[in-house]
Amino acid sequence: MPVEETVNTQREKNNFEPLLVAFCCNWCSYAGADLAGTSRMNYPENIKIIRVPCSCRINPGFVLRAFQKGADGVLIAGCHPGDCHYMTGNYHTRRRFTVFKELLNYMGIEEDRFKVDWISASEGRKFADTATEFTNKLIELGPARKLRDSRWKQ
Amino acid sequence: METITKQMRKLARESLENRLDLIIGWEEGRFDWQSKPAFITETNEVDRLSFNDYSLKNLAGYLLKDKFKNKNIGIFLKGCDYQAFKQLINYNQINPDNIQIWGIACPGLKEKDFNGIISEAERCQRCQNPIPEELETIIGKAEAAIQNSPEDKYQEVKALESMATAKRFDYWKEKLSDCIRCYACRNTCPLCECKTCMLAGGDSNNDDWIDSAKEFSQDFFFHSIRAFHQAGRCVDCGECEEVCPVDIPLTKINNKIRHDIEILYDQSEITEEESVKGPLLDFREDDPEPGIKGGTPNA
Repeated sequence: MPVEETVNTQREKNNFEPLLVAFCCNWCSYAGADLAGTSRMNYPENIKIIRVPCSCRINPGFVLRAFQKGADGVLIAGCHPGDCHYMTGNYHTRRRFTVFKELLNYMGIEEDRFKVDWISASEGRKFADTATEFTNKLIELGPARKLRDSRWKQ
Repeated sequence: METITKQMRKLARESLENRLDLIIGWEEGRFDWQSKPAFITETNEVDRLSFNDYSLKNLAGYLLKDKFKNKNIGIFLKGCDYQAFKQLINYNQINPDNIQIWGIACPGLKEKDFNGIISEAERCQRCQNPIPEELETIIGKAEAAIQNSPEDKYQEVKALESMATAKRFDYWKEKLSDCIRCYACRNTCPLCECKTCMLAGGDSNNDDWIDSAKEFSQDFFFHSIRAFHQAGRCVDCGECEEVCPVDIPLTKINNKIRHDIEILYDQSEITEEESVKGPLLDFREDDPEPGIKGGTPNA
């Protein structure tokens, strides 16, 4: 079955719209998202963007907190390594989240629910594609309940 | 053990008479399967010092206490304690100038578990550095020190890694749900050096991140973040697991991070040099991408 069909049947079957939280760096990925918008590219509205000054501003606590408060997937998007506005920020992001992603997986969270990607200001297409792919993946995986705070209400 | 104790007392007495203000060592606990840290300031107290099978307590963490700053301290360090000590210097937390260290060639210690069964301490079965070799004074015989093969180091982690993701989650859910959030693991860690902890409890009544609700998501948050804050620093001294009142296998989390960092960033030996940065404070341009483990996608 082609991916699109699977996604559509899943979507109907589960009556499930995933919530994807994306932390986007101000200088590259947020501008990339802007470009995707101004170029009128379609991407799913499931993605909620949170703008951060640099991808290394993101604390692993943010990721867990997003899962606690209802996210089905978390995306961290920053400048390509070497292009950081603050010279070295995203190199640190890369090390931190390589380790943290492994740790989450080790503690039983599906690794596809958390993604780190590099999207530059000129890559509106990549942003739209990443958002679409990630959303489809999340529809396949179904709702994330493992880390959700039981007191959380939509 | 007895020769180590004798030598400890001798060294402590000599140095207290000379120039040191305080000796940190171990003494007998209330029961014969216990041992507790001893802080000796007077020469007539020196005979309290004793090193027995249960002297697991990592003493390096006491050097962080404010009341011990600017004092001339003599301290006894086993192999694992010395690793922690080096890490503290590495992270610029203590001034080694007024600290006199005596190493102990650790023969491998014992612990009493929750069922009252006495066995070899788990952490000693993984230990790779029982002797603080760089030190001038080492008490105890090097031949008597415990020896493990390097493969023993991450066996538990590898066993857990080979399980399916859902199984792993069930495992951790069962273990972490026991947590009563006493924060003993954090408070005892010799390398947890922040004065105000980001996580709640203890000295900091900060509930921004974790509140007092008994909630699995918060247990998960606490344990993953606690371990992550030690990433690149943890020396697997096993203190956290030792003090845990509900027996959560915390070293399995710590060791996972240690294992990954060793594979990903070929972390060199811990040194005392301040110029050497910890693996998460440093970077290289050709670091692997997130989700890629040792060059191959994670299974």
